[in-house]
Amino acid sequence: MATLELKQPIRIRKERSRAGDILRVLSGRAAGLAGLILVLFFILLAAAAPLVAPHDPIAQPADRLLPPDGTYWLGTDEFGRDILSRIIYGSRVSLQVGVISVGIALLLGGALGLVAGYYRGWIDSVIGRVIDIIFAFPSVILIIVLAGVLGPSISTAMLAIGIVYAPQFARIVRGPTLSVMQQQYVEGAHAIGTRQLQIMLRYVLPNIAAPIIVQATLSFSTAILAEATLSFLGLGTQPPDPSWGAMLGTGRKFMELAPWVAIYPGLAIALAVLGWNLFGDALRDALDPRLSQN
Amino acid sequence: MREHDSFQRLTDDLRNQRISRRELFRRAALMGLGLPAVASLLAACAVPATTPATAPTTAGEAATTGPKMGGTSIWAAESDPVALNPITNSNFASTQGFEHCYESLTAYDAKLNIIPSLAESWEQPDDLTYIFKLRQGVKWHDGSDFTAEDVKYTFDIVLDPEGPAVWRSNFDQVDSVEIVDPHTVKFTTKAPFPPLLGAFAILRSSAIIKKGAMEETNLDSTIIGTGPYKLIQYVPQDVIELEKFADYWGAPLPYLDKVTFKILIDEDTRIAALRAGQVDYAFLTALGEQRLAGDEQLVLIKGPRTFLFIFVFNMLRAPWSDVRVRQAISLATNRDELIEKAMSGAGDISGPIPTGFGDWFIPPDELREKYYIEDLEKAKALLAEAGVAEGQKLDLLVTDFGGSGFYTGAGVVWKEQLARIGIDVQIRLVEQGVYIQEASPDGNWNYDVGINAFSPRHDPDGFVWARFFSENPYAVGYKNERMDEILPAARAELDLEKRHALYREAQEILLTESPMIWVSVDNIVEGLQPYVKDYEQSAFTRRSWALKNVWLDK
Amino acid sequence: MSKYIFRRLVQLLPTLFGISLLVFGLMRLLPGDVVRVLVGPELTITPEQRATLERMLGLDAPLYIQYLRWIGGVLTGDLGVSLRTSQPVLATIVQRFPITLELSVLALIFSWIIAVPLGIWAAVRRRGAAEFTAQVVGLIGLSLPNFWLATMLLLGTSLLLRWQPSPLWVSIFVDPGTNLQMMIMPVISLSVALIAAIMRMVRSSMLEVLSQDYIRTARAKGLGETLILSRHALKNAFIPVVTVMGVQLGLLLGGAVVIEQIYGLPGIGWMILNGIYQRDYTLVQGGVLFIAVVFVLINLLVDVLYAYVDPRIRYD
Repeated sequence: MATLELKQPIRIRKERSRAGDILRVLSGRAAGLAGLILVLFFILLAAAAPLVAPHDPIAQPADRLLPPDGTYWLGTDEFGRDILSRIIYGSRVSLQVGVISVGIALLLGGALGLVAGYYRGWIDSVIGRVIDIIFAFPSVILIIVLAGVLGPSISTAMLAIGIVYAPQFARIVRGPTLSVMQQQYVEGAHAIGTRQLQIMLRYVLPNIAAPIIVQATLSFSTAILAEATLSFLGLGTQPPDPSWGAMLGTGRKFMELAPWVAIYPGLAIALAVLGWNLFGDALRDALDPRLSQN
Repeated sequence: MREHDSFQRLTDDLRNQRISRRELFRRAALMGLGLPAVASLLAACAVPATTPATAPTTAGEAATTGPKMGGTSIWAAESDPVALNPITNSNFASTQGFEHCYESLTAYDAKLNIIPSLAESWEQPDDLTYIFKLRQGVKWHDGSDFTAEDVKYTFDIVLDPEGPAVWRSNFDQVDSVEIVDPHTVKFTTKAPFPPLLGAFAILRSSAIIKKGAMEETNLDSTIIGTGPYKLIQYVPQDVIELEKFADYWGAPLPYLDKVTFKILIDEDTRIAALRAGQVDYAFLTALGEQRLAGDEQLVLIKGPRTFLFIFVFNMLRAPWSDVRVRQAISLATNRDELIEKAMSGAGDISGPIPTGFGDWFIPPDELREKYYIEDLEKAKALLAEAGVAEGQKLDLLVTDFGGSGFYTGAGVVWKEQLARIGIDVQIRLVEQGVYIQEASPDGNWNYDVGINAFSPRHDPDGFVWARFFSENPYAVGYKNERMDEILPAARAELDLEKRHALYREAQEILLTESPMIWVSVDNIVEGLQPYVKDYEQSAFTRRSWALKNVWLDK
Repeated sequence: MSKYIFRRLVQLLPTLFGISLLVFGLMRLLPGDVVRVLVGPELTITPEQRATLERMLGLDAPLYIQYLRWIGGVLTGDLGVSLRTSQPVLATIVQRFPITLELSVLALIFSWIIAVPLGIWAAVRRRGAAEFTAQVVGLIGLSLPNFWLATMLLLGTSLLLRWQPSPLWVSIFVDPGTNLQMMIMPVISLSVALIAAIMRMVRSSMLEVLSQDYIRTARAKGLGETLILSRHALKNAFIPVVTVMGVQLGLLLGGAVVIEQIYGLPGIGWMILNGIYQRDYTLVQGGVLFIAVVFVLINLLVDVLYAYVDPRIRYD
C-alpha cells in the first residue's frame, strides 16, 4: 500500500497560538507535569543552594561515614563532609554541565547543519565528513584525549561532551534545512533579495525548533551521565568540588559499609534525569502537531 | 652431637635454598625432633627467623602436614605490568609481573633479608671488589646453561651510559664487570658501595637475561629466565600465565604446577572473585579488608608496606623555596588525619626513611615528639615572616597511581588543613602520563606540590639520594651543603654504625628543612583462600618468594 | 543503487583519512611521551639514553615522516607494533575486538528483546498509568551510570549468591557456557541504559506512525488492531529504529570501556584507553582507526538498508 508521506510537515506560517497549545497539552498529561515539576525543582535547588544547604559542601566537620542523623540528614562521606549539602551544590554542577554541554552541541552542531543544508554542494560534503569523523571517533577516547590536551577541569569536560554531541544536532538541522531550501518559495524569496539570514530564520527555524528542543532535553540527561563517567575516570570535576557522578564513583566502594554515601547521589541523578526526560517526552508530544490531533 | 651435625647440614641447605623451610621441618621430624626442639636448634645455628608475626598461615603449620606438590592456582593481580622488559621498565607492576621468572645474583626472602640466588656466595677481597661465585647447574628456561657470560651481557647493557636501562642509577658506582671464569664474576666499584647487593635483589634493571636476549627475543612480552616459573603467555591487561620450570635449580620447588595471574584493576571485582572462590589470592586495600572482615571463609593477612607517601615541594618556585614556608606547612599538616581519611586508618606516620625499613628509620614516637607537632599559630607566624599573603594559592598536582586511596584522597583533606593557615590549595587531578610529564624536567616542573609515593627501595640511600643531593635533577631546587657532604659519604660507608649515624643526621636535617612532607607508610592486606598454605607476606609487595614456597592443601 | 553504494564508499576515504590525522595529532598533543612514561615519575635518564630509547621505538624521525610511515603501513595492512609490548598491533586488535564485539552484540540483542515489546506496549496504551509507569521504569535505567550498576551487580552476586563467573576469558566458540556466564553482568550493566533509550524510541516511532492517515484509513476499513500493528505500523516504525541500532552498535564498540575495565574483560575499548595512558601511539592509532572503520561500515550498511527499503530517502 503505497502512501506518499513526507518525513516532517513543512510549516509556512507561524501559528501564534502555539505556545498556548503547548502549555495546554503539557499540563494535561501527568507525566509531563511531573517532569516539569522535577526540572523546576532542581533548577531552584541549584539557584538557591547557598541558602538551602545546611553545611559547607567542602568542609570536613564530622567523623567520616556517619549514618544519617539529626545534624547530617543524609550522613557524611568518607572525608566527613555533609552529603546533603554536597548533593544540593552538586545540582549546580549537573545543571551547568547539562546546559553548557548541550548548548555547545546545539550551537556547534546546529551551525554546521544549517550551513551544510543551506549551501549544499561541496560545503555540505566537507561538513558531512567532519560530522562523520566526530561520530566515528570513539567518544570516550575523544573526551579523554581532549582532557589530556586541554587539562582536566569541568570546562574541558563540558567542551568535550559538547563536541561529541554536536553531530546529532547537525543531523537534525541539516535535513529540514535541505528540504526547505528546495522549496520554490525560498527561491522566490531569494529572487526578490531577502537576506540569507532572514531566510534561515523565517523558514528553516520553525521546522527545526521542535526536534531540536526535544533532542536538547534528552541530551541534557545524557550529558549528566557523561560527566559522571568522566569523574569516574578521574577527569571532569576537580576535587573537592561536589559532583553527583564523582560522589557515586567514590561512594560505590562503600556500598557494604556505608551505603548512603552512594545511594543519595544516585537517587539525585536518577530523579534529575527522570525529570528532564519526562519533560522532554511531553514536550515532544506537545510540539508534534499530528499527535495533538488525536 | 650427631643430631646437631646433621641438623647443621639441614640449616646449611636451608640457607642456600637447597631445601625449603617446610622440607627442613619434615626431615627434622623424621630425625625425631619436635617443633620446639627444631626452633631452638635453628636459633642456635643462627639461621634467620622466617616466621612472620603477622602471618597466621605459617605459624602453627610446622610439623602437622607436609606440603603437597602440584596444583593450579588463579591469583588476582591488582595492576597491569604493561610490559615485562626487566631493563627498560621502571614501573613496580612490571617487576611484580616478571619476578617469578627472572632472577639476579641475590634475592630477598619474605623478611627482606638478602639471600644468595644466582650467586651462591660472594666475597670482598677489598672495599672496591666483589667476587661472585655463580651457582652451578642452573638452566635457562630454554634448556641452555647459565654462565658468567649471561651476567656480563646483562650488565654491559645496564651500565652502558647510552643504553636503555632506566634504573642504571642503582649501579652508578659500578666501574666494571669482568668474567673470571665461567662461574665467577668480578664487580669493581669506583668507591665503596654498600647498596650493591640490594640492587641485585630489588630486580630493577638487574634481572639477569640470557646472552643475546635483547637482540633475539621480544623482551617486552616474552621471558627466558632462570626462575622457578616459566612464562607461557602474557596478554596485556588480561593474564600472566606461568608454569612450573621443571629444571629449576631450587627443585623440587615450586610446589604449584601452574599459576595464572588475572589482572583485575577494580577492587570490587577482586573482592567478588575472592568471595566466590574464583581466585586463590587477591591484593586488597584497607577498605577491602573492612568489607571482607566478616567473611569466615577467607584468610586475611595484614602487614606494613614500605610505600612512603609524600607531598613533594617544587623548590624552584617561590614561595616554596623558602624553608619557613615549608616548615609552616609541615606544622599545619595533620598526618594522623590524613592516614585516617585517605587511607582508612591503615598506616603509620613516617619520616624520610620509611617506618619499618630495617632499623634506619626514626621511630614514630620520636617523630611525634620532636617534628610532627601541630602548631597553627607558629605556622602563621612563619608565613607572615616569609612574606606570604593570606590566600596564597598552591597548585597541587595529583594523579591516581593505583593501589591506594591516598593519591586522590589526601589532597582533599590537606586542602582543609592548609586553609587554616590561609593557604588555598587548588587540586589538579590529571591522568598519569600528564603527571609524569609535569613533574619532570621535560615538563619544567609545572606544579607547586605533587602527591607521590616512594615505592620500596633496596637501600636507605634510595629514599634520599636522588631527591636531596643538590646536583641531582630530581632535587628540584633543594640545596643543603651538609646534605651534599653526608649523602655521598653515607652511600660509600661500609661500617654499619657509621652509616646509621650519617643517615640519622640526614633525616634530622630533612625533617627540619622539610623539602617534602613525609606522611606515612601504609598497610597492605592480602586475601587468601584457606587452602593456600605457607604464604609469606613481603613488605615490598614482592611475591616471588611467596609463590616459590606456597602450596595448596586440596 | 550500486551507484549510491559506490558513492558512499568513496565518501568513506576522506573520513578515514581525517580520523587517522586526528588520532595521530591528538596523541602527540598529549603532554608527555612514551619514553617519559617508560622512565616514570622519578628516574632520570641522560639525553643519550633518551636518544637510544627514541630510536628503539621509532620516534627519532620528524613527525610527518612518522605519520607517513604509519599510514603507509596501514595501507598495506601493517599497523605496526605496540610501543610498549612490541606485539603487532593488528594481532592484538584481532585478539581483543571479538570480545568487545560479543559484548556489544549481546547487549544490543538483550536490550532490544526487552525494550521493543515494552515500547510498543507503551505506545499502544497511550494514556494513563500504564504509560507513565513504563516511562518511569525505563527512565530509571537510563539515569544510572553503568559503573554504579556494575558495583551493585558484583556485590549482589558475590555476597548474596556466593557466585562469580570464572575470571579467565574463553571464547564463545570454545566454551559457550563459561563465556556466557562471564558476559551476564557486563551485558546487564550495559543494557539497562540501552533498554530505556530503545524503549522511548520505539514508543515515539510507533506513536508517529500510528497517527498517520493510512492507519486511520485501515481502521476505518475495519481491519483489526493486530493486523494494523503488524503489517503497517511496525514495518514503518522500524526503519528509523534500525538506523539507530547501527549507531548504537558503533557507540557501544567504542564506549564499553568502563565496563571492560571494571570486569576485567580484555576488550578493544580498554586496550585503547590504557594505550592512551601509556602513550602507546601505534596501539591507539591502530585501535581508533579500526573502530572507526567498523563504525562507518556499519553505518553504511544501515544507510544502504534504509535506502533500499525506502527509495525516496536518499540524502542528496
